[in-house]
Amino acid sequence: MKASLLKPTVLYVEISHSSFKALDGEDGLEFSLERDQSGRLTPDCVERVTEGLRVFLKKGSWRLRMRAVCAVGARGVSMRRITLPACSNDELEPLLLLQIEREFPLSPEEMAWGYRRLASNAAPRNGAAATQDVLVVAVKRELIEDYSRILTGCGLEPVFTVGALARSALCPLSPASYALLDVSPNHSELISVENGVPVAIRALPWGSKQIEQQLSANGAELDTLTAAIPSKLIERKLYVTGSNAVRIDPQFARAVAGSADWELLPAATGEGRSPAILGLKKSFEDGDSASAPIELRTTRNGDGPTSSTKWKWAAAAVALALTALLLRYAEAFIHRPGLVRKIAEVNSYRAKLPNLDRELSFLQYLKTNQPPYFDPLSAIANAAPSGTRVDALSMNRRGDVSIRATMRDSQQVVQFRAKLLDSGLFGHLVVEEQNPTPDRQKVIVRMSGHWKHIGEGKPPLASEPRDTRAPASNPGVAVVDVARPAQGTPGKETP
Amino acid sequence: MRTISERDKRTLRIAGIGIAIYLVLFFGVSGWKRLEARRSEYRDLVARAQRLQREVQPYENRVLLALKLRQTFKMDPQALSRLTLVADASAAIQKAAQNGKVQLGPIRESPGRASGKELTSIQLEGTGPVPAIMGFLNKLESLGYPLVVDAVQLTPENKPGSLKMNLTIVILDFEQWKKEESPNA
Repeated sequence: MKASLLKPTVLYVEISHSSFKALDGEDGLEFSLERDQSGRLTPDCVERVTEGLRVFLKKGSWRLRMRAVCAVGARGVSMRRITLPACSNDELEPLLLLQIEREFPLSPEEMAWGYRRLASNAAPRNGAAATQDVLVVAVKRELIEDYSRILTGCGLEPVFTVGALARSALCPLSPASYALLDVSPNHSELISVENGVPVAIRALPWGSKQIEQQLSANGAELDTLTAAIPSKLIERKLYVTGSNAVRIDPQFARAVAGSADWELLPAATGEGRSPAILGLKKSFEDGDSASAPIELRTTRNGDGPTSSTKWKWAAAAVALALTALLLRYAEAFIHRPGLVRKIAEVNSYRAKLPNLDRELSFLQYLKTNQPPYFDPLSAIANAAPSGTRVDALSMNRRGDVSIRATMRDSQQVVQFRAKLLDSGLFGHLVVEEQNPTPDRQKVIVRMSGHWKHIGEGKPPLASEPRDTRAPASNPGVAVVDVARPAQGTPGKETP
Repeated sequence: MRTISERDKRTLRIAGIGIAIYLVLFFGVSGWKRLEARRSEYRDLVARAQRLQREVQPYENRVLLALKLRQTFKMDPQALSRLTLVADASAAIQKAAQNGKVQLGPIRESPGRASGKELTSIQLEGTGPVPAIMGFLNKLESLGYPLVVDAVQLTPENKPGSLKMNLTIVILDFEQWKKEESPNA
């Protein structure tokens, strides 16, 4: 069974005098009906059918609410062709209600009724008022209400029509004037159509059982049955079909048709299938509103499903508008807890900021007061001439530096001091003392001065390559390769 | 019991609708005012959050810088205990010297200068190969304590390739930073 989630599916139902048939896609269901003397369904029967139908529909409970298109039997159905003055659609119904009040034995409130505007073939004569023809079909409301209770009890939205009208959808378009006889075991229904417009619907008190009895009696009494069908109702062609697996004897069809043509329509076989149901299905699948069966109104003064649907849409629109309006306020309810939490977080973070400031200033103080001793050491190692021996070196973080060294001659002292000053790490250097050794071979020199931290001094000359191997080639120099200490990361490159 | 006619039903229906409209208006207005107040409060909260965000934003760079410095010095100043700081730092220095194959000599501790926000000053002597001495000097700043090498004195040892060092190390006192007036946040 194919069904769409979004497209509401249709349940086709036929309720005749003695049976209830339903067709949901390819699945069919049948019940026999029990009626009381007034022709209404007994309470037990209503309950039984409702329960059975509910179980039948449960397998498709995930679907949208189903629409039930229900064909009712011709018993009790009245059909009139009413001529009204030409009017607009809005004016039609009040006019129609007045005519129904006059033409039908019951008031419109007591009936389920429907109508269809008929196409007018003849132009109005000169001076005559323009008119329009309307076909009205009506049935006693209480009869329909029983059926409606069953269907609404199963969560269906019922729509009623007359079975005979539904069956006519099975007939070919040509000829436009014909009659259709549906034979059931115990009764039959005839609809006569003239130029595409139904003109009469008859419920006949005999069915296939009586026909078989008559035929078994050599057809002698067949005329008593066919006499119930006037030849003027048959028009040009008679179509005969059978419900409830009834087989129609051609002899009977010929007898009923008389001089008119006749044709047996294929019988509807299978559970839940009948000519009326197949006709309904064909009409709805074709989607042709002109040929669709007339829908019977089951509600009074517009308080019906159509009206309730309108109310639903109106309620939905109001709900949507309210939702749109409330969204403006929903933001405050939805986002407020998160915002409060966030503000609390920011506040606690903000409370830590003074600590952070103190911590940062402490760390920065530590960083700026950490003298880069490796830089002057490296500069001294690079500047020391060959054969230099550094006897003592002292530095402090205030920038004082003092060197005592032994060199070959005074020329080396000059060179050494010049190189140190060129390195940019030393502000000024004073040779405090320069004495020759007792053997006059070397010079003992004592220098003091000021060295600069990172950022204070000018950057060293890039063109001057740093001789990190100098101490190795100068065995007399005690300070060795301080630019690359053996352990740890140097991190003290001269800027 | 008397049955209700269609006219009565209509009257009842209209009366019901009227009462419903009155109730909706009566409670709707007060509810509406409450919702508006709630929304206004929410808008205030949003404005407050934005103001806070703006106030805190300039501190992001400082936070990053502090984190970087913490990583450099391998130290969390907030976790330092003033009572055990000197003992812990002294132990860490000696352990670093031991691991770096520097033989430590006499160690003297003296109170630091309050003006320099110093807790203690440690003077220590040690001997060792040149790379060991240099490595030890380099390692001092990442021991996890606020140590500042105040003075370095290097003299050659009799043994070739060996140096004698005389260090003055200052331990800074973070408590004195805490006593400072907190800046406006």
